[in-house]
Amino acid sequence: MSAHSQILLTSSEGTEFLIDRDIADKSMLLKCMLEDIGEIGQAVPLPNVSGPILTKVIEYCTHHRDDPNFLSANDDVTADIDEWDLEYCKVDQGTLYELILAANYLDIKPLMDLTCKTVANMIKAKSPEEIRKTFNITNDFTPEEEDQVRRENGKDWVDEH
Amino acid sequence: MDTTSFEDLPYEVQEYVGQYLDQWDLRACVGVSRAWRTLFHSYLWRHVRIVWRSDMRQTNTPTELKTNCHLIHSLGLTCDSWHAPDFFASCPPTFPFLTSLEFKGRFYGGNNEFEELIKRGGGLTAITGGWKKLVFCVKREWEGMYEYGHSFFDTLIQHAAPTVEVLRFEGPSDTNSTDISRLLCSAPNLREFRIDGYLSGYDIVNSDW
Repeated sequence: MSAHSQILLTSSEGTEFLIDRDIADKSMLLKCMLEDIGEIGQAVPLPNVSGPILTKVIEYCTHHRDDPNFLSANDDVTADIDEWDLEYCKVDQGTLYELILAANYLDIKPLMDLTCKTVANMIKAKSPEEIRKTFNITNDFTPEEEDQVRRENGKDWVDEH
Repeated sequence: MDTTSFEDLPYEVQEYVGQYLDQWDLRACVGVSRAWRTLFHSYLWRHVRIVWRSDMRQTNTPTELKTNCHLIHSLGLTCDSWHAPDFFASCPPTFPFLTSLEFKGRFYGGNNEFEELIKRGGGLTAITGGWKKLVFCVKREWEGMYEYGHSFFDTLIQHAAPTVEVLRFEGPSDTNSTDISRLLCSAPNLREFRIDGYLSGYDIVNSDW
């Protein structure tokens, strides 16, 4: 099997994507599948991933094509996101969640880490009300529950530093 | 087609986001909605910092601690010697997942409290792998060196040494070098060791151990 071989993928709408094998290998799902059954010479259907999202995913894998530590790239939970990745994640929320779903399904851990970190950054340094606004969430606590949450949050015992 | 929203993500994926948030952000998260409260509650308790004061037993903190102790992986505890008995009376008998402790406080001497903490944590060793990190930042009440005694080291060697990776004694202290030798010889995974006071600036990498 040649390292330069190409793989054909089909998105949910039936659009075909021809990509290099080493790009496909960034996805653990595809990598394992291709190792198990070999190249069948047919398109691999990805019914959970739409064309625009698959294009985005391929863009990510292509950019990080030669990263020697691709798999552990975003392991450090406190590390800042690099500039290209930051730019890459400047998409609307719907697209961001679609990317997360695709990264999860295709099993591309660094992309999963990057996109989830981006979601976390949308939460950081916000009040509950601001978070609700950002994520379009309704406050479904009763006044009593809200009171309880406030108490459990332990404002009275955690160091405010 | 509706746009995909955060709620459309699988639960495990939503939960995965929690690892990137600190205690302050998580506190906001559990106040967002019922779903978010369920989602982020366990993360909120994963890394806990407690400043123990004299009036703690009258608050609901002891109950909270007992209910959630199984969620605590790392604990930062600030407590002075005269409040320590109170803390132990209030805190759960074991912390099944606690593997990291940073202790700060002013003490007279005698290390029973620390021994007690080491024994209660470390987790279910088979699952957690035991103590990973122990930091004691102890100032002696009034003045002078804080003395870490033999029995403290016995406990440390028995309950933490086999697995501990980071061990620091901060603040002026007085330690018997035989105890340090014993400890270092029984701690194969130790990669960071620091002690202030009589044995200052020890570097495990450059030492014989």
